[in-house]
Amino acid sequence: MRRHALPWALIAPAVVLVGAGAIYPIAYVIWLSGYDYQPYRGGLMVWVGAGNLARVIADETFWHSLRVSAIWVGGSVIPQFMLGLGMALVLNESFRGRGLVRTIILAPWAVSGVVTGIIWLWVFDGTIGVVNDLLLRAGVVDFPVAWGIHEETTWLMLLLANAWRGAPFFAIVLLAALQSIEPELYEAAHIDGASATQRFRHVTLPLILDAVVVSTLLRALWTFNFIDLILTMTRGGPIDATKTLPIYIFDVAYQRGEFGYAAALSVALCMVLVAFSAAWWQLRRLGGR
Amino acid sequence: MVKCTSVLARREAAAQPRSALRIRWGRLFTIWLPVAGFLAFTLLPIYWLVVSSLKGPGELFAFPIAYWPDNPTLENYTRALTETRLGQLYLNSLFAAGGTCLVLIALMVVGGYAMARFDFPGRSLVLMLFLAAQLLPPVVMLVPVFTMFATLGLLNTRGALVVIYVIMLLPFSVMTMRSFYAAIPEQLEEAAMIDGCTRLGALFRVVLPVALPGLVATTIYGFINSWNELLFAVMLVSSPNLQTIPVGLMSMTDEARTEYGMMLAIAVLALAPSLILFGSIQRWLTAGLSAGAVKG
Repeated sequence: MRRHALPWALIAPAVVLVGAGAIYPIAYVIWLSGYDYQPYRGGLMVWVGAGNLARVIADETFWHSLRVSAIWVGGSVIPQFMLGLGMALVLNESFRGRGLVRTIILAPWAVSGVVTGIIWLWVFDGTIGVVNDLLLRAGVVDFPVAWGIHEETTWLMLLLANAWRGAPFFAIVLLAALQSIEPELYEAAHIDGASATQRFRHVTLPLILDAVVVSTLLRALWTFNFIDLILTMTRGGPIDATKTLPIYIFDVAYQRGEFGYAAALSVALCMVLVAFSAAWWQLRRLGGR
Repeated sequence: MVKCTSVLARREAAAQPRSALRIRWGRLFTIWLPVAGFLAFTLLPIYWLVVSSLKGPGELFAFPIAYWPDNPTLENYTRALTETRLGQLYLNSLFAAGGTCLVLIALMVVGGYAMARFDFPGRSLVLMLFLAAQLLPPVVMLVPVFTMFATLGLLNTRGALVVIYVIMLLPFSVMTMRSFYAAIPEQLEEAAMIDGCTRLGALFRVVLPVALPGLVATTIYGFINSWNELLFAVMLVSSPNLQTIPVGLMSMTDEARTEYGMMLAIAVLALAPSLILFGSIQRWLTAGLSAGAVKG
């Protein structure tokens, strides 16, 4: 027994912290979702049982925020994946200055959501933004576009900013996957007369498929939860058009102070994420056959 | 590592008659144009931010817009330093990120070692806990962490952000350190122990120096993430003199446009440490990230 004392002593502090910081919140959220609890207004905890969950199901903003989340996740992950794959394929080639190019292209990964938001709000500024200036000069538009007040243009701005910051993640993961492929496989395919497209389709793609599935799933979950950029750029507007479920929960908890209802919404969010992950995994198994 | 494509390119070059021009044309479309496109997409927004921050108040809102300022000035930076809480915000962010890193180092150096080198009862349970914790949505933790910190008297303290950032970053850090240790041959500490080192002595004197690049990369990953964090910084700290840069910056987007020059300057100063740190350790960071990455 004593020989197990050392590893446990080494890992115990981390386990205690992570346990307290992860398991306790989940248990607390589930427990709290049965109560009406508004700490800024008296702070009485009133047992409402399934009342909160019933309220979630009847809450139109909840369903709306789920649809918005679907646009946010799909509109973020798909272009980010394609951009990231393009970056990875190019960075996998050898050319002069590759190290520097790689550092620069991957750098937006390290930029915070808030700074990303400020940069792109500035680029898309309604009066003196670069995008408006270029469009006016090219004669595409006659008047500056107020990007932040229309639903479609707001999405364009938001998703482009998120692609800027998010594509490097895919580039990093896919580049690692590409570099683990044996060069001999390409040579064999080349000798067998496979074209570049065929080599990509029949050699590269099957070998990076696992990395693709895992990275898109993780990125989808992470994007779903990511609210910094939306908070900075739109606060969920115009008129709730970009109010994702996490933004809605943040509003309910932080602005309205309804902790019990926020907990119930959080439970609903977890169920959505579990269902989505399970579906994605199932899809992968079907695709693998 | 030999690049497959370079091998192929050389073969094609050898097979074809020597026509340097033709080969360059091919590479123009497969490499240089995409590289130029990606570089422009990455750099132009940052360029526009930096250039705008160098414009004086008159020029910033002048029309037509100038792609290079006529009179570059550091006025926005000096005004931000003297007229805003920039210094305070910077110190608060440094404290949160630096404190987080110190605690993380202490815990992941030994924790990662335990996970890499020992098979102990409950190890797979710990693994599962760490994997699950990384997938936990931060917004779900918002209310419980707020209530827990209120009970512990941690709300509105300097320590609050350090505690929550350590909790959020620990699983990734320990797992990444584990993979760095696992790449080091175990004979190293066996030899040291034969020479009279204790197990921990061998870890600190022999193994850790070899794993140092990994430790640096993982620490900087933690620094960048806590430097950038917004959600808990908004929720757990409300007094202005304890706020971090992201919170201060976000509140500035609501202010009058006359303050925008200063906001852009602060954004540049918030961006600089992340980019410099990322650039200095990009090679190790990307290797480590793809080794045990779950977080984006």
